[in-house]
Amino acid sequence: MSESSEERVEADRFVPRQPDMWAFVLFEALVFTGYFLVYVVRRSQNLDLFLSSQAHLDLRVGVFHTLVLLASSWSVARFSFYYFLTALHFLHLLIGFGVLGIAVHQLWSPARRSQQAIETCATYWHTVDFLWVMIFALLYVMR
Amino acid sequence: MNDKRELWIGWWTLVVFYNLYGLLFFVVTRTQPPPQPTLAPAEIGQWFADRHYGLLYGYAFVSIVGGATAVMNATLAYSMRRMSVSRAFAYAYLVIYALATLPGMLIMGVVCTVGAMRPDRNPEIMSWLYDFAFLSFEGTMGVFLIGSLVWMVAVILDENRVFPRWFGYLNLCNALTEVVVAPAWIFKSGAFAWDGAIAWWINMGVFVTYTTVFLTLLRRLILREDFGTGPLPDLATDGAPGPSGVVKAAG
Repeated sequence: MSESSEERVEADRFVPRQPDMWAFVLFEALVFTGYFLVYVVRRSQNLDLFLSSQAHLDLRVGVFHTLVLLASSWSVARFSFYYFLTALHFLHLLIGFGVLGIAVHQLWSPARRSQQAIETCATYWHTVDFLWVMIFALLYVMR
Repeated sequence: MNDKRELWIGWWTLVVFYNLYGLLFFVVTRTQPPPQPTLAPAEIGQWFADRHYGLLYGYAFVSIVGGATAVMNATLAYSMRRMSVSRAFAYAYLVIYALATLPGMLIMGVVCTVGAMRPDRNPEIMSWLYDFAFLSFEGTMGVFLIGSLVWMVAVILDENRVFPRWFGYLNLCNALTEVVVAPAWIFKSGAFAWDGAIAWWINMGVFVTYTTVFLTLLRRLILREDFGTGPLPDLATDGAPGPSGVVKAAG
């Protein structure tokens, strides 16, 4: 993310709303829609099992319980979607920490501030938010 | 200005190879889409018997054209050498994709051929070969993961505008779907098994999209290439002929 050439590129290509990162958002939204559809279909095929599993989720709060769960029932099929979606979201979150680091680095010095880079980071970060809202609704709220 | 023949050879090798790969794996050998991991040994024996000639002829052909991956990888790495980033990106990409050829294509081909060659073998041994072949194929995913990330970082850091930024981010999407294949090492059935909706179907959909996109962008790179070291010039008009004869050469 070098400044001089990026500023030059910005002058040529910069448009509000950062289409480059939005392409990522759109594509990730499509991929996650695929995951959600698979989840909803499997759930509808085995509704009672998924509902009883969901009841367990409310009880098993906290890091300790999650660890116990991981150790004891990783292979239990009904929790596979729960682990899959939350782990994939966690991976996005870890990348998000790196992205936030880039934003902080950009903001640290006035000479380095690139609106394009910071808006791109913000767009990524809010995508991770949005994905969590969807995952939370599917895993915890949907009855 | 018109010395792009070498690049077009590389690009056409990519296009022809990917089409051949699809044809050989999906139609001739019928090893893709992958069959269920849960087949019983007797069913696995039948699976090999049903594909006997397809496996033998198909993988014989794969072993002949497999070396084309060197030309393909070189063409992909060329895009990184044209960028303003360190040469280390292109080198890392070359090495990691050279390794991917082994489990993703050759080992799987050899193991499937071993199974097809003597169909009267003990079914237990056939099911061992079956698992080995498909787990070997799945095992390339970590390689594609790191390869995509290398390409992503190169595109984002590049100042020569070789590829648009969004392609860098698309590499991240592809890398993330490669991670999703990992559960195939644990699950034998369902969405996360090696034939599952998530571990295979969605992943393959993303990979085909990604491949189509990078082939299109590589074509544009060759059209725009001026063999300089600075930023790549834009195409005069999208789809219009570039420097004389270039579009014709692209076919």
